[in-house]
Amino acid sequence: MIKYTLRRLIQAIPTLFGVTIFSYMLMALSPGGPTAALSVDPRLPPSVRERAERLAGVNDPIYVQYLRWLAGTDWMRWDSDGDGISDGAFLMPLGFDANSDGDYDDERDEIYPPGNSYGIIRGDFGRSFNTGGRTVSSLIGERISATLELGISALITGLVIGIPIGIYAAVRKGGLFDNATRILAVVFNAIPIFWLALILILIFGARLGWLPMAGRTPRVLTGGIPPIYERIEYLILPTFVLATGAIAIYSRYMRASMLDVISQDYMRTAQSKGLSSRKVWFQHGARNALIPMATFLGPAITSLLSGAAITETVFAWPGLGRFGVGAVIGRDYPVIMAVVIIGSLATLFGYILSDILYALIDPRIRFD
Amino acid sequence: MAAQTQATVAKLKVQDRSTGVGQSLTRLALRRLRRDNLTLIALFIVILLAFMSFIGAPIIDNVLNVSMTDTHLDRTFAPLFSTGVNRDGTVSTNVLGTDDLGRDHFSRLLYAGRISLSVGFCAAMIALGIGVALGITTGYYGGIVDDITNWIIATLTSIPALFLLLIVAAVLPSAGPVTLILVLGFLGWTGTTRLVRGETLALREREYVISARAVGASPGRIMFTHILPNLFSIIVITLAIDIGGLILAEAALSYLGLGIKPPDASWGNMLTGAQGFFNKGIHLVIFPGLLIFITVLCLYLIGDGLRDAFDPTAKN
Repeated sequence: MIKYTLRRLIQAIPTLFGVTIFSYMLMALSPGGPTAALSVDPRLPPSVRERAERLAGVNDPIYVQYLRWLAGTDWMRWDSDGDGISDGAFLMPLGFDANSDGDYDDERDEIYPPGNSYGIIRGDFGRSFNTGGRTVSSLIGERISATLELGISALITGLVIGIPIGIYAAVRKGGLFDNATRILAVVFNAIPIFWLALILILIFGARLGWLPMAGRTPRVLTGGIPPIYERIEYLILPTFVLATGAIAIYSRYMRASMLDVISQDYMRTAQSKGLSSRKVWFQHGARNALIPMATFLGPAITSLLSGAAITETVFAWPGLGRFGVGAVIGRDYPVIMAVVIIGSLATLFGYILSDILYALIDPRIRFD
Repeated sequence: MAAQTQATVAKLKVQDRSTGVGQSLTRLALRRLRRDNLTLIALFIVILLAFMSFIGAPIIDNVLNVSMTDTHLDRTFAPLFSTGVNRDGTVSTNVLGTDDLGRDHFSRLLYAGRISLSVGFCAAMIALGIGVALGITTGYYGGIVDDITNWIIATLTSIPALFLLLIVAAVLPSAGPVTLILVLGFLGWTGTTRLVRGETLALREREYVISARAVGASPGRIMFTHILPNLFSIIVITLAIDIGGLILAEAALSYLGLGIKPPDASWGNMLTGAQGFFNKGIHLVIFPGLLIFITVLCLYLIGDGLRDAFDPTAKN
């Protein structure tokens, strides 16, 4: 099992690199480059701007910039002669003889200390352009709990509602309930979730006044976030909106899985043993039908994150998705990159976790 | 798959004997489709919407004396079926009321439909073209091209779909309909490629492909004349469902302010800031979303209907 887990983890590495390369190249392609936002002030003299650009290293070849961004600069010097112009010596190890006097660690070398960024593989996403230069990591840290809260409650809601619907639809295959839920699944797949959110806010927030229209907590001004049971009413609408897609998919998938199981021999055996139909359906049927659902964790995380960006924006939920959308509008590239990479990491993690879960439940998978 | 095809072949043979004429799967599918009322209604609604948007919009503007661009600050948030006087003295009929700037809502919805529908359709065509071409090639040849394609697909699918669109939207200088079509098209091919690749892998081993290869047909010819026609049903089904999915994606992006930007109207961006209309004009919240919903629902139903119609194991 450990071997299998390790193998899956190693298989994820090229994909993760793909994600970083893809997103970095896109950012580098953006008009004016990623530092354009830093030097938009038209009163800036060209010489100052040029120097800022040289210091930021935007004149280096793109792969050098990518490596610096990926692995950080604290372990290397990328400006070996100290003239403020980076010269591509990005792989120069510490203790390199910068002034070529044969002495590898003299005073002259000391004045050119290595950089101070740790690179995204060590969790350093740099500084945000728009929030007064705060580190992206701290900004993300403030928002990730809100997204987790919403995502996890939507996932649980999706499973708790979707799975029983799937089981019952399979048990009463072709019946009224089965047909009704099938139609509802198509309907909920076709509703734009931001519109569903707007309509629900309109009905339950604006007209009936039962639920808050937006936000995560009533105490905005005091800054603190009260425990979740004190603001459960804030969670209801966003969770439901985010969970609708999940409910629609899980219920259909569970139904198909259940129908697969029903045709198995052991189900007939259980029935002919004279077990009550409740026992047959739930102990023999549903438990086995749940196994393939484990593979759904990966795709579930992707769609929850995509949905979170929209749901959080509509409900002014202070999470990562809304933060990402705001960063795109404000062209805050370090934040965009961080959100995309964290989202992809979560997805990859979900895929690996569901593979491991599946292998754990069904040992045949491990020996592929 | 093999079992399904054998069933088809068996059925066709039976028909050969009974009618004396063999029928292609496509013809059988069309016959089944003609009796599938739900799919036909869905198809009718989509065609009607497209017709209203592309051809009907200017006609309706003329008949009702309305315009999607003329603002009337004295007549904002007018209710349904209200009338008003234009600057040139003509009387306009605002069937679905007016918006926050006094523009005719009905007219705007129709022109927005042009953009939403054409973005969905064109992007789906691009995605489908890439997906089918890549899927057939990688499925047929395998090897290094296949590995690289799989790596790209794994990479693209491990970025949550909306985040992928967000990062591309962040990079693009402006997002007109054409840019949006290209973005959605060039990012949306992964699912189709996987599907087509899998199908090609199966078709490649079939007897008629092997015999074509044995008589010396070139790979291009095999892919074009022996494999592609057999993918027809998958392509048609995917197209219908993709258009729906991409209309939803466009709507979400435009709603977030990252897709189609005002003054151009799309069903998505007409809902931007809709919370501000809650007290003054609910119709501005309801209709754009309803049109997205109806269009996507119909496209999904058409996809489902096509799937049933092309299912070789279905009873005739």
